[in-house]
Amino acid sequence: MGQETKSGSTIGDIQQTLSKVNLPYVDGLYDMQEALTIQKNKDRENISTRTVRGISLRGFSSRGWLYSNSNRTDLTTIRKLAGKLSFASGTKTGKLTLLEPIKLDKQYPVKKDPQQIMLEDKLQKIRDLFSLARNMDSRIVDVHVTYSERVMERTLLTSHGTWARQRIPRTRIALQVIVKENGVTEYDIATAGGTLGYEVIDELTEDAVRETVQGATEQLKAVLPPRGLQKVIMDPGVVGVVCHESFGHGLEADQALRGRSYLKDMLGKRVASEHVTIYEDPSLEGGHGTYYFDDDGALSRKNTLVDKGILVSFLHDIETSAMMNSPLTASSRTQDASRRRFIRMSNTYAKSGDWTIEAMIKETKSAVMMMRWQYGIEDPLGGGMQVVSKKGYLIENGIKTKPLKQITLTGRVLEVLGSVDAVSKDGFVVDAGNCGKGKEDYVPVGEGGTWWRTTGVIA
Amino acid sequence: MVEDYWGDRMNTPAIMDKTTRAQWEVFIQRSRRMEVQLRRSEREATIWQENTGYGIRVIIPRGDGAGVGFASCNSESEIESTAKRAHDLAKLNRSPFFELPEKKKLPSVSTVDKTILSSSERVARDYAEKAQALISKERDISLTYGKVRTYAVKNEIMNSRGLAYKSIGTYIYVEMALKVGLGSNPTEFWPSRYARRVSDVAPDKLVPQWLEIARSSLRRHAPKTKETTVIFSPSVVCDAFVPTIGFHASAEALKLCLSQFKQDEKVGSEQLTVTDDGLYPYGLRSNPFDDEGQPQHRTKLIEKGIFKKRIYDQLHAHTMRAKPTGNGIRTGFGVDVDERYSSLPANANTNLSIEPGNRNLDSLIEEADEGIIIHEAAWLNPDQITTQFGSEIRNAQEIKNGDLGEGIVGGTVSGAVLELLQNISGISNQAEITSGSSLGCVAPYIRFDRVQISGPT
Repeated sequence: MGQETKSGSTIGDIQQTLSKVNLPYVDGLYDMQEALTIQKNKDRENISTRTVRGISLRGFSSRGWLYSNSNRTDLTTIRKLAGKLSFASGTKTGKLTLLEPIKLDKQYPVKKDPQQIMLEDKLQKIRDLFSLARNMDSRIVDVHVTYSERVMERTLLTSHGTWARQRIPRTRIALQVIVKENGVTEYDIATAGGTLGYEVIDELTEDAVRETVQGATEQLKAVLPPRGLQKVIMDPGVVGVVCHESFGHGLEADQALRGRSYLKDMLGKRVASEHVTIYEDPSLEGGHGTYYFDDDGALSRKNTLVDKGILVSFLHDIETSAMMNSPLTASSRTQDASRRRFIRMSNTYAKSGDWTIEAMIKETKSAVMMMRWQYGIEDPLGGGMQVVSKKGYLIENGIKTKPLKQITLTGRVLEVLGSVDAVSKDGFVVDAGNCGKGKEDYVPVGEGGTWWRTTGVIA
Repeated sequence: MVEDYWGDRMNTPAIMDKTTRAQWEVFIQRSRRMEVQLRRSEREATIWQENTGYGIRVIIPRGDGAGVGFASCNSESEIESTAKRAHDLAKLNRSPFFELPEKKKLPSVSTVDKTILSSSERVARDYAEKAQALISKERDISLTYGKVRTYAVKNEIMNSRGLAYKSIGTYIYVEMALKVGLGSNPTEFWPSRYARRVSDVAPDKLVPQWLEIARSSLRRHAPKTKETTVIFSPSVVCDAFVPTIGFHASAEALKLCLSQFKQDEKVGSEQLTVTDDGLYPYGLRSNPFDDEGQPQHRTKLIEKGIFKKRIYDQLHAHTMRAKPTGNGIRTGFGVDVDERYSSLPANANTNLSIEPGNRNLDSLIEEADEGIIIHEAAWLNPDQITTQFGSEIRNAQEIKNGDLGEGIVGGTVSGAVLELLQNISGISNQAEITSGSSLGCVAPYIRFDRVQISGPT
């Protein structure tokens, strides 16, 4: 172990206990998360806090990864957890990329530290947002406002000398406006978030609230999208989810080791049109998926995944990097200390192009425009994709016409991304989301880009 | 070790009474998880986990309403500070007033697999090895990744009205990613399932079922765009019904003017009868008491297509002057079965039990001239309010002249769940405890007419 830490502290106890485990590689993660959530609707308010502490000890052997996790942090528990690893002691290790040890203690700076703002003030702001939206239209039946802040403090110790701690604050605000008319209920939603402080709340301006109310009322007369293969124009948030589900999940190298990636043999080959460049960047300022180092101890860096349509890199942890002889991408992440670490994305986004959105619409005869992403899911082996948006518009003869209800885009990733024929220079955003590996293990991520035009199956 | 870890060491009611004079409630979960993750024929990871959590709610009456504060932690030593925080939050909050439940006689319900309780590590390892062995016999199908996880969970609730209950439950979670086809264009069948006991998902029963579905995707094509007859598998039914019927049948949905269900009005085909069954043996949300301490019940929600009764938690029972039905449930996005302590109770369903029909699955298929049976959708995830959904078809089979044909992979199934209920044309005669992205459903296969399928042609 590297930096000495005083015995008697949780970190010191982990450090001393791990040094006695006879495995070629061991590490310990001490995770603390503090969260506050305020929710308001017309019926009630919910205010809750959540404190999560946990220790995850991990070793690597020829039997694979061994984890023993607990949310007790006393020395007896730490010794018991180490004992769970020790049953594999002495076994031959597998192959790992052993990192240069880092010594780091970082706190992510924000403009307005949420913990310095009085809870009463936060609650009043939520009530004000609720009232502002509620009084904008007589068809509004309810408004749901949700504010959340979470501070993650995570310390990593490895048998190869890393001692690193980071404190990352993340905030989000969401406004859902629900309207009803002639028995039809609809809504629209606005969100903002990132590795940010209380300043996130300023992003829901009066104009943004009004736009959300108008979006909700417009949905009352929205129609179903035309079905089948269509030209599609996507807003920057939808583009981010497409990048995330396609060349984010598709490039997780753990899936390649399992024989579960359709992109395994595609490095250096064309996987998208020349208009498509996709980055994965855990060092992106303010991104919801931003961090200083990953949960293996690799320092964050900007990675290019797809460069002008050519596949450049997979995402790696210390195991896949060694097995595939590739550089690390700082992509090892866990939800908390009760789960294992997987290869995950951080902030995934597409490079801007040279179109304007106005020109893109004007030069499109017929298309479906997808707006306000809701969710997506990956298909790592089959190479499919599903992305759902809350609303959109029909484009007819170069003009935005009818509003559309929920839109689902599916299709083969290589075909959808291979069909991108226009990328805008304007409108760049990186939205905040949460990403599961399959249906579990959620981590905060960012996803974004600018407007795209492509082709896919719409429903 | 088990007894020691699960033992009580602190007098929680005394701490709570010292901290607040208001109404209080403490919900505690203690669990052990054991998980094996597989990479092809090898073990990728072994995870041993113990977890404890405390969720504390404080209710302070104020005027004609109340302040409600909730805080959670996972350390015994933080109970007092967490209770104080909940009390402070309650002082700021504005909510309707309601009472916490008093002690009542509890029903009994089966929730424990003794094998998981006593040998959770061995059960997970043995299951994983058996599944690997069964799949390795296949020529055209292989396992790329898998998870087998067992849980033993102790739930405990106590409140300021002297209520104090305990229960124990077990779970097993199985997820397998099956690579289908040997060539350069394979596809995948990627199912998962929760159960309370191993026998409900026994490897020699479940794995062959999954392999059969995987084999059906060996020869496959994308669907054409059309409206057609569609049969949903039990897990797809679960993902369609739990977020929608569960929500629209809740008292909360009515209170918020969002429920599309009106009492004694037709909401679906007369073949449809749905019960919220908190006492279904080994159901995933079965328990003697709900997450507020109210005895769980059976509540008939829809009978022969007519909406009958709503489900109530404490808050809505009090504010809407109804009897609580044991539907104060702690759940949330990404919250696992042993992490419910960190969520506030919400008005939600327990197990949605859909009454089986009178024909077997073969008959449902034979009666359809043409259509599709969907075994697995990518992520149905219907909108709770509008009930709209659109999901990629991951594994399906075409039905032609009453026979099963080639596999269908790709394209989209879409619609609105509450509209689909009107179009039910058949329900199979066997229901199973199932799960998808949602938990809490006992479902048969269900056939719907006129469902929108979209494909590239």
